[in-house]
Amino acid sequence: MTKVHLPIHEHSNGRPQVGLAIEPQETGGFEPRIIAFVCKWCTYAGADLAGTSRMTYAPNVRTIMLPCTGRIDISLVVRAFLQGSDGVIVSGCHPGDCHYTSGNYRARRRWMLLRDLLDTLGVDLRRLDLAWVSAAEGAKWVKTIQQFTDDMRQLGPYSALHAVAGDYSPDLAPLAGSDDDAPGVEVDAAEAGVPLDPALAAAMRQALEQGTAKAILGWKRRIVPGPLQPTWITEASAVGQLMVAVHGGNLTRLFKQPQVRKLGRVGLIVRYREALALNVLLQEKQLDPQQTLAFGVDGQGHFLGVVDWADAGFIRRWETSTSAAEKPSGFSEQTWQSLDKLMALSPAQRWDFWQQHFVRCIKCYACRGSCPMCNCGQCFTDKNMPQWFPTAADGPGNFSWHLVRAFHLAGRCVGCGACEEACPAGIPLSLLNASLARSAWKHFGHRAGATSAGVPLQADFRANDLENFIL
Amino acid sequence: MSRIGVFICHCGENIGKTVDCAQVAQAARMMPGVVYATDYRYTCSEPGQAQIRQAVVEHKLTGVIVGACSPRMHETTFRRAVAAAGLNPYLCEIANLREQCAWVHTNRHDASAKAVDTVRAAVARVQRNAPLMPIEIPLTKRALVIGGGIAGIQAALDIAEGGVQVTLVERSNSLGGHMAQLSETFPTLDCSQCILTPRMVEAASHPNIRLETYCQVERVDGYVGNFTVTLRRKARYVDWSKCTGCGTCWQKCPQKKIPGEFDEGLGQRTAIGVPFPQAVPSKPVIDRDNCLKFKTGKCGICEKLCPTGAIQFQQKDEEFTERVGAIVVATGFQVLDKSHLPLYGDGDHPDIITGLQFERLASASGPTDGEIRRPSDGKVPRTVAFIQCAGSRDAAGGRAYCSKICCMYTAKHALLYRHKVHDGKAIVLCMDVRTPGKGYDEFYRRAVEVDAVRYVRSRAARIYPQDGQLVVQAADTLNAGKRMDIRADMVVLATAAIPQENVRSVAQMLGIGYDADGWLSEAHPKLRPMETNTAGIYLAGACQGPKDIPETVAQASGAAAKVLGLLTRPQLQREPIVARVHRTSPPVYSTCVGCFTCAAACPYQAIEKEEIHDRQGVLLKTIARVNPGLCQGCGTCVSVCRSKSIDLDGFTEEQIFSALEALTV
Repeated sequence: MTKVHLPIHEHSNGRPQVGLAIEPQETGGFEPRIIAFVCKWCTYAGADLAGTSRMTYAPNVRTIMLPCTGRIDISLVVRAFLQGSDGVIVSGCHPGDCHYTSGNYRARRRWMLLRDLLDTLGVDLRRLDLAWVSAAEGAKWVKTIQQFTDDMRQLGPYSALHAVAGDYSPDLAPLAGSDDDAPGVEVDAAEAGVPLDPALAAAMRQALEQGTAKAILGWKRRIVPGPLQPTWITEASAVGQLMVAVHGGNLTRLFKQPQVRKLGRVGLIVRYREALALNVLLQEKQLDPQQTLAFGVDGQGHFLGVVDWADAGFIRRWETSTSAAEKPSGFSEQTWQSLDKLMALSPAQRWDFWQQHFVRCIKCYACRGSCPMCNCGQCFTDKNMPQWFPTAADGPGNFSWHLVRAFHLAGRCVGCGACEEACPAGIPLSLLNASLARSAWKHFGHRAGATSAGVPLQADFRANDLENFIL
Repeated sequence: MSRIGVFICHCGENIGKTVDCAQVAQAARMMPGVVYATDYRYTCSEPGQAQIRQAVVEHKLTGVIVGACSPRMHETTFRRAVAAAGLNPYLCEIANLREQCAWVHTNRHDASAKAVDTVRAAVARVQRNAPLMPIEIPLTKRALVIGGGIAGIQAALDIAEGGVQVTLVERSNSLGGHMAQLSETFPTLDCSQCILTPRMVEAASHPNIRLETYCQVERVDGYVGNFTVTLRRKARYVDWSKCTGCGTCWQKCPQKKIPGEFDEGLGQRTAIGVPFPQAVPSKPVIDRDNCLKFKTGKCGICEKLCPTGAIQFQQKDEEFTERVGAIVVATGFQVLDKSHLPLYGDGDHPDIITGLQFERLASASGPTDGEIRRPSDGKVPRTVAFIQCAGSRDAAGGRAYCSKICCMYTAKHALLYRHKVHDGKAIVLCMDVRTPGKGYDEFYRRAVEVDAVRYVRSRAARIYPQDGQLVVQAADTLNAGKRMDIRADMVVLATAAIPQENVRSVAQMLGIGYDADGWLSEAHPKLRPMETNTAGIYLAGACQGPKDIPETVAQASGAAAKVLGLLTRPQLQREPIVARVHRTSPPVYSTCVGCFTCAAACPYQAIEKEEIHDRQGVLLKTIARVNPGLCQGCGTCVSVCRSKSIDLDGFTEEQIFSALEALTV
């Protein structure tokens, strides 16, 4: 028989509590632990109404009240699962009824993205319930809880997710067979670059001599074999050292470095991926367009001239009309194919696929370091007041890191694949990013980096955003 | 070290019946940080509160948990109690053991276990609570009233009478609004202008009111208590400081055939002038589009004849700003144009008129001097058909709502017509007659019984001209929709009241809501009918929905009372539940990197830029800053901040994390 939920046994700090007032009672079957995050103005009031009307419902739900669904961060939901909840309910005002006019619209968009990400990760979406409950809908609240509790009783404890905390040995049977078919992207680490196009070299020399750029970002060969190394030069005489990487990396990540920011007006080699990334950085006010000089190069490294990277025409020259519409941003064809292959698996198989990969993660944060968008002053994972997610390179630590990292890139990742190239464990991180890029495009028509204008994906909303997943 | 006190209330039998309160208190005693726990029959009673106050002092409590009814019920009560004992009120939290526990569960063990969990979460949370102080915001003791109809006049007068300075802005060149156009008012048949014009004069001459007519609001910045409003005084081409309102200019203006807006196109006006004789202020403006001087460069008769030399063809629009603490929106409504009703005479038949046009015909100061004459040939109509719900209560036409005032004014129109044309026939085609209001049904009965107005329950389908008359083709809804043809000399349509054309842009400028029909949204349909969801902005009159005059005046006075309630305080105090951007010591200053995703997500534009400079004034960093006056505490910014650099006081990450952790052991 399944272990019975004991509401009171020990405090979360691990200190056992003695002399419990209410002794645990053995019941007949599995009783799920459910956390509900609700808004103060609608659902909490609706839940109060259920009480005032003396309706009854299952006692499994523990409610946490927040001012608005807009405040319900994904950390809360993920943390609730990590701490052993079998199901999570999120509920607030109906669209149009938000006490704060639009908090719930933004929450709805966030949940849509979160659901797609959880689905890609193989999390059982039945464990997450989203419902609009107005202050007048006590009966709906009762029905929501009763139905969800019954469903969780049927599904049993969420041991798959909880087990990542313990000794986890993924069942790889579904993926066994030909290694060639397994999703995942091979990174060609030995990808060499091409020498500078003479016209490009001349333009760079001129810029440095005339002072229109104080420094130029590019690549150089490493001393040891391996992919090209990003670098910068400040002297016209050093232009000869630079190379152009045809694939791989993303030069704009150098803008995270204070010493680069201090250089003043910086020239850089701009490929498709850099152009997209620059647009995102500009949209997020991380870049002064006056402080950059873009030397455009095409897919073979040919110089295209000093370009306006925010120009949609410049970005569009890499995109055939059909591929851009179906497959937003700069992900490789191989990534899209792998993603399709992954999504064709069952959620349980996807779960195992990711656990198989995450178990190799050593939390070196190379993915973070190589990403131009990971430009927070301090990463959420390095914050410990509170420590939302465990930092250890273990089951829960790796699961939550990869989940939240990907989520923070929703609508921002331009698909350069630098994270995946940087990962020493070969985790196919692009698949998570591509999955969210596809959601952003499919549901909200948002393409990261297509323009520097407009509002970031998660801060924006439309009154008619998709919500077929919400009760 | 925390010293938490836990008080479990039995609420008589309400909680105690299902939850073992003594056991919950005993469990609480063993929770980390708890130094005192007890249960009591009625904690909200005076002895119950005294018990809390005493325990706070005696046990030097640093936090209080009351396990009782919903925080929506008694949170304020208990927070006041702990404040009385010297503890910051925000260090008191409520565990909801009644509405969301005892009342919804039947099994005593399960309910008690849930109660213990709820209390444990609250205990964990309260240890992370910070003492918060109400936020004090300075106030500008001046109000702005937008709209100079009866709602705006009333609100401005009431605010001014309360001793607060008011700026009253009207976009046309006279106060009065729609009420000034009316002939008589139901149900008393007072002459509209007789009761309105004294109020207009009073508003214009009140020492606390600054009147700005022919002026529009261009921009509104700021927040409750501290709005900065940009106004545009439109070019009048007349220097009002010189003008005496003698009227020479408009008597001599050669452009005399312009359809007059005030007379709803039935009368004519000149290119310079006042909209109606009793206009306040009684100073003219030049209608640039119709003035010969502007159109051809020749004329300038008014300039030559003006005895004070007040005409200034060079005048330009002027922008100026005003700082105000509160805003009353009284922008009113408009009536649906006939052209939206093509089945009723193609929308442009001269003898099919709107109710507002009928008011002008019936008005002693109107184009016919109060005689009812039809516009096409000036003949006195012998039969007049009045059609109610022309455009209202018509979901297919896009207006499902009832315009509310039409039943009453149609009864008034029919009655006035019968008073003026003794042998005339008045026929009203109605869906229903709705007359709730003091003396309203009596008035309607009087029209039917004393003045022999014929009411026919029917739905008019089409109106077409035939032999110099109009035929109203209607369905008799009391006789299985049988077709009726009613011949009339003139038809009056009770056209729907609709929102002002620019209402959406006005609402967006003010940051207030509007409904699907375009009526401005009140904060709560029942309990906060004069407030908007934006603090410091109030609604008066028909901009919020169709209203008659008494309702409009009542709401305007209510809005004025709200404004006075706000602006007569020494300063503004508000709940300190606001967001805050993380700050730390140099050289980091803040983990915020200034991506301003929060600013884009904030529904209240409460996020500003803050520049951090060194002592030499060199810009080190640009980060986000929350304006506590604008922040309403929704926390949407917290969820979109990737680096967790913004937090919401009262619902901090630490508080929620602790509660969650305590719940999911």
